[in-house]
Amino acid sequence: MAACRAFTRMPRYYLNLYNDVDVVDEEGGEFADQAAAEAAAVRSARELMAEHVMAGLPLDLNHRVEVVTGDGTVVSVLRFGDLITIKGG
Amino acid sequence: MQGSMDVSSGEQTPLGAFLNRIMQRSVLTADEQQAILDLPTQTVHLRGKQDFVHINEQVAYSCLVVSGVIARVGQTAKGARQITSVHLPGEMADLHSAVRPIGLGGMTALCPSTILRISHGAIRQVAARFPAIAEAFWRDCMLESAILLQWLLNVGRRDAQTRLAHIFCEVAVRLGRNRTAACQYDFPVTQEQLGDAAAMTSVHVNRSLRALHARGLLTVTRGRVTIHQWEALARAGEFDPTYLLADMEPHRQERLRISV
Repeated sequence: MAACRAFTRMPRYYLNLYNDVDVVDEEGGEFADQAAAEAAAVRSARELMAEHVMAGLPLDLNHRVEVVTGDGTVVSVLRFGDLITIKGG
Repeated sequence: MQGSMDVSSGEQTPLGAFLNRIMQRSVLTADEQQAILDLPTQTVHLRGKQDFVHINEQVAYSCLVVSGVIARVGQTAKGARQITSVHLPGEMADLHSAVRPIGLGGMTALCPSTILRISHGAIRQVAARFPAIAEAFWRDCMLESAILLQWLLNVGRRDAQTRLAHIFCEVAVRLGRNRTAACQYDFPVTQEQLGDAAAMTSVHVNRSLRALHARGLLTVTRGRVTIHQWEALARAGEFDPTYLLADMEPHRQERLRISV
């Protein structure tokens, strides 16, 4: 049996998505810190944009993911348009 | 065929549940059934998210799931996890480890779970004593391989909603009885864990579950899955249950015959 991991509580952040519909994160996730939560939000936004592109759907650069703490404070807003670079347009 | 009486005591005991699963696909005599029910076990309770076999750790036991959900996992160099399989009550999560005790990934409990550890020695002894049990275990391992092939197809070639729909359809069939999908079941995994199984971020999982719900196909609320339209969900998930059900008529399975 593997040794039990040290049982440290990591802070919980909620990643709310505002794109064609609002998708509130009711579960949240444990992250080492706010930067880790923001990194997850950036990955999520890019993944969603990538799927839109692959499906031939238009991208709305004003869509966003918000990082929210357990008490409802919005600590970071990640706008899709700020997460991609387009050249030659 | 002699002694085909079913001595499994329903699903009252975890080993009985495992025997029922085995006997859905393999013919076993009363003696063979009893030998499985007599396997020595050790109960282990696991916390949610507890890694209990590390990647590349050698194990001496296989794990029968009593309650909860057990997953096998792999990990990238940057620490991103991929869940490569999930195991539900009545299933042996790593029967193959009896013959290959290392190199098939780590194991983790996705939620508070209970497992029975069964020593590889005991499994190999019962398989050596009863060739039909060895064949039944072999068949069970190949069912796991069939599921793995579908999961590979799923994460490699399907879009987000299709992936998730396929997973929920598969679990419905695996938890169902008599070749019928369970349209309401508990699957207490987080969106992050679903994402690790479907190779998606948890935000994307949340968005896709919302879309599947909006299409009237299913609702997932706090670990409880309700399928509203089975046929439509199966279409959305490109789900064909043949890989799970094709060999579920044991009378079609010839018992091992060796001519000398």
